[in-house]
Amino acid sequence: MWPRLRIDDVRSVVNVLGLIVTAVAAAMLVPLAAACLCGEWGPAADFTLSFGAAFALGSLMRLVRPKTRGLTRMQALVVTGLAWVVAALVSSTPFYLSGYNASWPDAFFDSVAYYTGTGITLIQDTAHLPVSLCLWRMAMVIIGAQGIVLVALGLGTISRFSGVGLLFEAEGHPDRLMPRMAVTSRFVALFMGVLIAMGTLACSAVCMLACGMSPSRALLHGFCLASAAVTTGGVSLMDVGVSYYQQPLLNAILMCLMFTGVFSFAVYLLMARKGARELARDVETRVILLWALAVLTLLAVAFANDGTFGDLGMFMDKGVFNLVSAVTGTGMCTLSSSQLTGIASPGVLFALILAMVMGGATSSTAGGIKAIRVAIVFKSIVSEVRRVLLPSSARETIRYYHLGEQTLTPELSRNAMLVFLLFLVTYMVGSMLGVLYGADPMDAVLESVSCTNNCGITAGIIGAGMPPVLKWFYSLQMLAGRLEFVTLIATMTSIAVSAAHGVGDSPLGRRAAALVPDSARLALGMRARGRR
Amino acid sequence: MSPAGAGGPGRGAGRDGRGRAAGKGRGPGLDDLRALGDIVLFVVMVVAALCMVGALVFMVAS
Repeated sequence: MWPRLRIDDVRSVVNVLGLIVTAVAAAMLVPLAAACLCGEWGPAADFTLSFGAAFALGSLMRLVRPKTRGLTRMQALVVTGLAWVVAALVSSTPFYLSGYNASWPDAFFDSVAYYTGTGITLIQDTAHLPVSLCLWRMAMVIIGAQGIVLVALGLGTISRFSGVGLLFEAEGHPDRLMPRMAVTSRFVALFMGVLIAMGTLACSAVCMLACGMSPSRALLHGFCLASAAVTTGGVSLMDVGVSYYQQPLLNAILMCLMFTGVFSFAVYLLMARKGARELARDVETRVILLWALAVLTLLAVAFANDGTFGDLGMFMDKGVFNLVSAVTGTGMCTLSSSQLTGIASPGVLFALILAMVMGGATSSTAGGIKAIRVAIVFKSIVSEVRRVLLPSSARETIRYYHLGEQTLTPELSRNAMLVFLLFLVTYMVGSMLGVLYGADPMDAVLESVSCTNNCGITAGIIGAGMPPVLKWFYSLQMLAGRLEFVTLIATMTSIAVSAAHGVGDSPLGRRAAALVPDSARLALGMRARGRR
Repeated sequence: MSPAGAGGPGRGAGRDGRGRAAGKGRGPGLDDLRALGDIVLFVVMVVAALCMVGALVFMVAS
């Protein structure tokens, strides 16, 4: 029998979601202040309205008091899964009210893309966005990179619950950096903040001195570029992305910043305790670098055989930069969609898809399958081959180095393979859906992998005019990839089962259950109403 | 007794109980930021190595 939500579970979930909605509302005060300072009165009115609505909604939800104060595992999974959807819903209001997104689904898609660090936008004219909306996009990317729940923990809004560690795990941070979750949250925020500050200084200097921007404009561009790179969100202020700047030095700085976001924050913390060797010894670092080198070789050969991008300077600008962007899951691209699909050779497209497939390290800002799972799957295969070759009496232990010496257990191996398989299936389903809607197969694969791995490089299928089914499915892919499937599947299953069976034994739950048609019950593998 | 106080040794403590108090809920500080220099150096080296290897393969292939 599937576990279902009881009425007290719903109360706990609604209460914690209310705290998260309040935290999102509080975050809107930053762009609101920026709008007032810059004299953008239209966006200021949009943000005031959005803040008021979000704050009122959050406060109302907080009025729902649970009887117990702790969170169970199921509650934590549902809270985390729904937190991302609710946060995206609430955060999309300013974009919809501003009119820059043509419809509310477009605004929701964009919000999901910002929070998950995918960074794709359906806004047609990003170059003329008000400063406040630009800052709101970046705020969402920064919050999403750390984890919405983790940020709420850092703000102290939900730290009084005893099950916060479960929330932390459900958000895709399996490595506990510190015993106290709120301290972990502040460490990640501080670390990311310092990296963004350093990157902002460097990028602003290039924008000012090499691109001839005014200091205030250079600071805005520098901040947005550095934030987009460190968080691996890849959001750009300009329609043409990073190609707008045409500065090799800026590209080099961004490549370094992108790499800081792809490695694990847990390893960074360990480096502070045990020294720099921790990063080099970690299996995830090695896997990421090996993967980057392998795909780089393929890309170099593809570029060398490509007549259009045939010189070394072009390879550095259009090849190495995009490879680093794809490997780190950032999605900044110096090739436009039309160049990628129309001018570049299929080999280049294939290499970029391969680069995106793996994703970053666990507890990093990057999404994807994660390097540790690739390492575990590889080691499991090696272990299996050795087991077959060795005598049956032989016993061997497979070890790897990740935050200290670790032993490969069958459970770890099974979990890694399960998530690995779920990613592959999602890539496949997304690609098939793209092809069904008339896209070129290679473009459809690129789009599907890019969305699932929260990368953001696009072949041009994603746009304001794309079919609604694709819009919703890509949104789901982005969320599934960010939450690493299990959380989202558990959330959807809990809600579906509770809806079909009724929430606990409450009269409201029974009434809701009566509304579920028998066909839906059968689809969920449950008994028809007459047979209950 | 660990310098981390009562309740057992802190993170990084050895068998003799001596070690740093990092695991006892200590917040981020300047010690943590010291690692930043190493990280920046590491990523610069990685990017430089990728550029060099990429250029080499590109020149050989073309």
